Amino acid sequence: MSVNFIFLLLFAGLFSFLLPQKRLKFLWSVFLFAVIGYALFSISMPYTGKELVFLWKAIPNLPVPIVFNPWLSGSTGVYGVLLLTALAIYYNIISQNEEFSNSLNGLIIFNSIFIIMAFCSANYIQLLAAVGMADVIVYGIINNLEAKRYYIYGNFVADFMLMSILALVLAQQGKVDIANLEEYTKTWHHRDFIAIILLIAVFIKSGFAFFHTAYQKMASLSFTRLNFILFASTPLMGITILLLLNNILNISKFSYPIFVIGVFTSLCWGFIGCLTSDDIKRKAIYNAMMFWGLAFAGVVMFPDFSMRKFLVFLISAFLFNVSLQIVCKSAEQKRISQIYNFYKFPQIIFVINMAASCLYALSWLVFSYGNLYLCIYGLVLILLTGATIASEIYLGIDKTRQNQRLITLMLMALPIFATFAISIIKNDNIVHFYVYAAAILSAFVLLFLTWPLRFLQKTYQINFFQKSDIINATYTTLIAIPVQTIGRGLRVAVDFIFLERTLIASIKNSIRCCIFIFKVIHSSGIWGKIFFIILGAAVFTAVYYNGVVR
Amino acid sequence: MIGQTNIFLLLMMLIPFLGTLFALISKENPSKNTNNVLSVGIFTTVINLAVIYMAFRSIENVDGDISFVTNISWLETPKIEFVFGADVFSLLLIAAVHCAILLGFVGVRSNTYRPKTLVVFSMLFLGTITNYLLSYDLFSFYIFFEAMLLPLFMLVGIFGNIRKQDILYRFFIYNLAGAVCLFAALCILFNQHNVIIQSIGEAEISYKLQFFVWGAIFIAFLSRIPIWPFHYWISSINTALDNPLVFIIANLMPLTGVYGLIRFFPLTAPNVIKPYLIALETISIISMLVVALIGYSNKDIRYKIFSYSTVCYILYLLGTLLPTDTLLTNIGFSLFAWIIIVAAIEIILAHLDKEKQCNNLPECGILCNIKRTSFALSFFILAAVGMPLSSIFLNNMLIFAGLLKFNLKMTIFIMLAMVLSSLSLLQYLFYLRYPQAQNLNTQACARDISAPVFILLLLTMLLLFVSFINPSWYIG
Repeated sequence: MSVNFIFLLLFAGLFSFLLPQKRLKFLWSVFLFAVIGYALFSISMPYTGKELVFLWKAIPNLPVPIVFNPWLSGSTGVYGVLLLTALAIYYNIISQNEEFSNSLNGLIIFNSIFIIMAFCSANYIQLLAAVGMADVIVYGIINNLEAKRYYIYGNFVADFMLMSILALVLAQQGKVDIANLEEYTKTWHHRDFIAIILLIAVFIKSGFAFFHTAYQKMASLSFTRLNFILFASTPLMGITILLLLNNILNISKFSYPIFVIGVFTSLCWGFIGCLTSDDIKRKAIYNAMMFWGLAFAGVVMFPDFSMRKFLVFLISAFLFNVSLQIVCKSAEQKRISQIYNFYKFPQIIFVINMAASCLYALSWLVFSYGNLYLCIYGLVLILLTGATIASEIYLGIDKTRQNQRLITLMLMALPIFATFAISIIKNDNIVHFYVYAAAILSAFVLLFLTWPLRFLQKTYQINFFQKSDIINATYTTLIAIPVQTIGRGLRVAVDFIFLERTLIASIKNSIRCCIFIFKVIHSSGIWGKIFFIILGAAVFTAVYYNGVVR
Repeated sequence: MIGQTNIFLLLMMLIPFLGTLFALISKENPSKNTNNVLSVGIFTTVINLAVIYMAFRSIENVDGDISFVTNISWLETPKIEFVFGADVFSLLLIAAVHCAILLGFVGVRSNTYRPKTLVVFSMLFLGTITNYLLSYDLFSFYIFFEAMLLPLFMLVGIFGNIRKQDILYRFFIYNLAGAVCLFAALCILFNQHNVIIQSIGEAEISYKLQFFVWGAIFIAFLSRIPIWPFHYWISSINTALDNPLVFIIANLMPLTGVYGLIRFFPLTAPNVIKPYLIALETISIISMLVVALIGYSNKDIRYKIFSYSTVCYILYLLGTLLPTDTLLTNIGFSLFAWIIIVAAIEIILAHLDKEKQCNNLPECGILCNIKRTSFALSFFILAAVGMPLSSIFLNNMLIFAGLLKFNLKMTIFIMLAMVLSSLSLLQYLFYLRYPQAQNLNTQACARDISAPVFILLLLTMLLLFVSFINPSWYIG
């Protein structure tokens, strides 16, 4: 099959973006699904050797080949991106709260093209262009000013960092091929600088702890946009960069400790944030932070990293957040503490919610199989998070709600959990996963019913947990304010005191002095004559010195 | 007496002066429609852009040397011969200057204060800067280097704000210093005949004299570049101009200094300049950081633009001072996009200023209800800071790669200044877009930019985006 689907996606995105927003919503969505379906079908076909390559002359003296070859550079990744795109468009259509849904669908498609472009990158130029373009697209998707602001600040800095390290590699190696990175790691200098800057750029992109302010501000976005951004856009680009440039991490002794600190902090921060936030969207954001922490841990720590398993995990996490969206929409509440009597809502929501939580945990099990400690650590976090949120929603603050009805509901949902679990396990042909799956489900049920972390509900009343923006305040205090103060100080000292009051004032006064002297010379008084004689003597001396003495 | 000629070159040089003459004799009637003289300016600029495009089409090689040369003999004793020439780099700059001034003309379409004076001096400036960028011998180079100050001096004097007397004073002092230095240096060099700039390094001068000559040339060009302490007069001018066209023209002044250094130094100058280069690099980086820091803390958008311009100009200057000429084309493509972006930002800001003054609106949040203006300004600022929307994005990467190859620490400081000045622009964009609660009711009063201007801005965006995909699309 050919790679024409890229052009088809491009045109579908363009038309969707430019289409009148309130017309042909349904028909156009069907068309978009057909396009994505065709793209998925194209990728599922065996590789025939055809690829889309063209020489890009963005830098006239350094033309680079732009390659779209999903088969060669991870068709599973492209497959996952397309599936996520389809899911995002689907939820955009059915949520019906987007005024400009056609336009949003167009941007979602564009984003997927650039992520595919990044996946297929064989050189830095293609990777950088894809990363930058995806950032501009996501900037367009964010429809809240505060979120836009923090997003562009963070990602501009991250892009700049990425650009600077790739420029350094290019400067020293003279090559733009990613494949040559391994050679670079053996030969060249500034290794620590490159590795640390790459890690920081990736952390910013994926919204790790201390770099998550932009994502926190997205709590005001609609759930559809939020989930799309959290899982299918910039953070995914972050992990793509890491996957492509992971050779760089091996060149510095600092990269592993920094990486571990980043991952561990994000996991803890995400976990605590998810349990202590009253706002359901903030819970979703913290869950995404925790998810990316786990995913990054997987990328570096699992020797046999499987893109397919990662994508199952990614889609499960996305669906978990979607289940929160469904709860939020059904309950018509943004705050979890305000969801009362939710057990009276349709049972299907409960089932979906439970299934999504279990799927999330099981997909992690599949993904992390092979690293026991990390697997257990991740499972504990995911199960505790999912079960606690479920308990909060379905059991509530009031203990009287822990009634027989809920248990019946949960038992009704068990076969569905099992189906999900089997579907995952069967795909991997690992028989003994049944035992683990059963254990995970039991643990989840136990945690759901016993609700061990109920004491954390007290944090819903504490402003520090709900409203404080400690990272933003820290950045403002430690960076923004000192920079502004230095700038103002320099303005006063350099521009005003030194240049205006000293230099220019001196020149002005010198000119005034000269004018005064010439006035005096040209006056008819005694001082004029004296000055004139002194001037003549000075000229005479100078001429004598230069002409006779020297 | 005209020797070897090129028709494109001659047309490019003459059309702006012809436009000046036509503008001078066109009818000005402030009580009625004043667009007559402006139409002359726009028409002339568009025609010259077409000639520049034709010239580009006839170039075969992007990295080649001078593509066109025209010699005009004037005097036999002393032998004075004007040599004009163009390569891709100078043509790119000329095209960018024309686009910027065209945008400036659109920005002043509703200006009723002395439109004829504005257009005549702008056209005169366009003519002198075009000829300056085409000059290849010392004599014409010096003539046009100084000649372009006259229209700018008049424009600042007529269209500057209440602080214009002070500003003109600084303008005079700094440029006089530069002019005297360049005059002295070129007189010494001119004794070696009318030297072609490319062969300037071959002039036979004693070591001490060389030291003086190059030092003087350095000071002359630096007086036009906002390098400390010369940044002060340019920043004063930039912050004192409300007229967008004059602002755009004033913002082009550092380009002339950078271009001068580019033409004189990289590969033609002798080894005697090495101490100057080290000093220049050090002062440049300090200047970048100081101006970026001041720009970040300053609330005036024009100072922020000045700060960003300074950082970019110095970056390109340092790029050209590297001991390689491979980056010159990249610097040309980056400068091309960057000059146009600054001009587009300025005309949008001028529109906002006008709306603010006419309707007594607060600046904060003024963009929140005007979608076209908001979209256009966002695009241009994102392109300016280096997002992949123009040729700045990848060409800057290559310039940074060149700098990093020679000095990592120095480049880190440059990058820091670049990030700071970019963040200050973004900061201002969101300041304009983010309404304060008490201002929400007043925002509806601001008018959006008109549809024709928006279309022009869309075309500019398209030009920039095409220049990102293929910056050399217009080269034959």
